[in-house]
Amino acid sequence: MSIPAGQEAIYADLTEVFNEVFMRDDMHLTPELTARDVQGWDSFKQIEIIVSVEDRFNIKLNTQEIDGLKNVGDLASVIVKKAK
Amino acid sequence: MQGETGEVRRVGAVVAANRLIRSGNYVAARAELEGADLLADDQAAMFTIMLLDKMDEQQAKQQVVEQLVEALEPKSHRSDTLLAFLLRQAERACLPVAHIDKVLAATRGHERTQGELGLVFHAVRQRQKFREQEAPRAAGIRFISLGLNCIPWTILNRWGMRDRRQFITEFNPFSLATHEIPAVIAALDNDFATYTLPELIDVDSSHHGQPIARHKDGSVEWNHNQGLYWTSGNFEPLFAKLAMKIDNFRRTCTGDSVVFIISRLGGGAHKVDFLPDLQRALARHTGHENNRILLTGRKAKRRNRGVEHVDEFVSVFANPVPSDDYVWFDMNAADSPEGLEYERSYMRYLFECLQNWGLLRETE
Repeated sequence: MSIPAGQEAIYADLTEVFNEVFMRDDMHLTPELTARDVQGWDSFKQIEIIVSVEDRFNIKLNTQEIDGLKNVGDLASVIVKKAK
Repeated sequence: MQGETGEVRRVGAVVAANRLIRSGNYVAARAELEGADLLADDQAAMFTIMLLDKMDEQQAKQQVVEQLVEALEPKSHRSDTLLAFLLRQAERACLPVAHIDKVLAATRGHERTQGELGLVFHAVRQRQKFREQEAPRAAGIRFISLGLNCIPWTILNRWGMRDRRQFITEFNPFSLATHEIPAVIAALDNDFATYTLPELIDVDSSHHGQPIARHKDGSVEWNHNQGLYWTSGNFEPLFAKLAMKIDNFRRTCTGDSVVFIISRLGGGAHKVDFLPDLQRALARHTGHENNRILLTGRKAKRRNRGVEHVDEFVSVFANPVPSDDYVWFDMNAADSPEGLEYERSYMRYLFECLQNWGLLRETE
C-alpha cells in the first residue's frame, strides 16, 4: 500500500520522529508498517513515538486513540484528523 | 475546566521530559516529571520508570512500579500500552508473585489482542507458573552476576530467581555492563582499586550516538549508563553509582548459598583455562577457592549443548539462541514463543546445576 495522497508531508515528519526514537537514519515508513516489523518496537518505544508525535504535530492523543493504533497508517490518519 | 488545565500542564511535562532525556539532561527531566500524577497519567508513569532506569535508580524504580501495580483494578481501564509495560516491569523489578498476579488480572479482557499486550500476557503467564512452582525450590540462593553481559541479571530476574530485596542488594558492577574475563579477574583481584581510575577510562560513542564510558582497552564498557549524565563532571555520577554497586558485591558474595554466574556470548562456555585465576581472585572476597561458578554460553554445536560439570564447584552449559539474529534484550523477542523456549531451556540447565550442587529444596 502506498502513502495516501496528501499525507506525504506527514510521513516525512513521521520518518524523522521514528529515526529519532529508534536512533537510526534508515527508517522507511509505509502505512502497513507495524511493531512486529521493527526490532525493539515495544510498548515503551510506542509511547516515545506517541509523545514525540504529540510534540512534533502539537496534538494530544487519548488512550482509546493510542490503543487503536495498529500500524503507521493508523497513526498518520489520527494525525490528519487531529490536525484539522 | 480545572481538569483541562491540568491536562495541558501534564502533557507539557512529558513532552519536555522527552526532550531533556534525549539531550542527556536526566536531572532536569526528573524535575519535569516530579509532581505528575502517575496513577492517572500513563505517559508520565512510563517516562518516570524509564528515566529511573536510565539513572540506575533501581530502588526508586521498583517503588514506582509497585505503587502503580498496587493501584490497578481487575480488568483495568488503563491503556494497553501501559499494561504491557507494567507486566514486564513488574517482572524485571522482581516484584512478588501476588503483585504480578495483580497485573495479570488487570490485563484480563485485553489479552486476546493481536498486539503486544497479548504476546506479553501469555509470556508472563508462562513465567508466572514457573515463579509459583519452580522458583521457590531455589529460594535463598544468591545468584551473583560476574557479567560478562546482562543475561545473568535480566533473565534470572524475569523468571523470579531473585526476590524484591535481592533486586536491590545484589545489583553489582557486573550486573548491567559488558566486561572481558581478564577485567573481571583484575577487578576482583585488586578489590576494584583500578576499576574506576579516571586515567584508564575514556568516552566512546554508543551505536545510538550517545556518550558511553569505558575502559580505554575496551575490557569494560558501561553500556547501560549511556548519555551525558554519566560522563559529566569527570564521570562523577558513574563513579558514585559504581561505589554503591561495589559495596553491594562485597556484601553479597559470601555465604553457603552463593552461585557466581558468567555469561559469554560466543561458543566458548567450555573454555575454562582462566578458572584457577578467577577462583584465586574470588577468594580475596569469599575467603576460599571453592566458589560455585556457573559458566554459560549461547552458541554451541549440537554435541556441546547442555550441562557439563567441570569439577565439584564449576559447571558449564551452552544454551544456543533460537537464531543467529536473535536479540535477547529485545523484549518482544524474549516474549515470543522462540524466546520463551530459549529462556525456559536456560532455566532447565540452571536447575540441573543447582541440583548437582545440592542447593535445591525438595518439592512438597
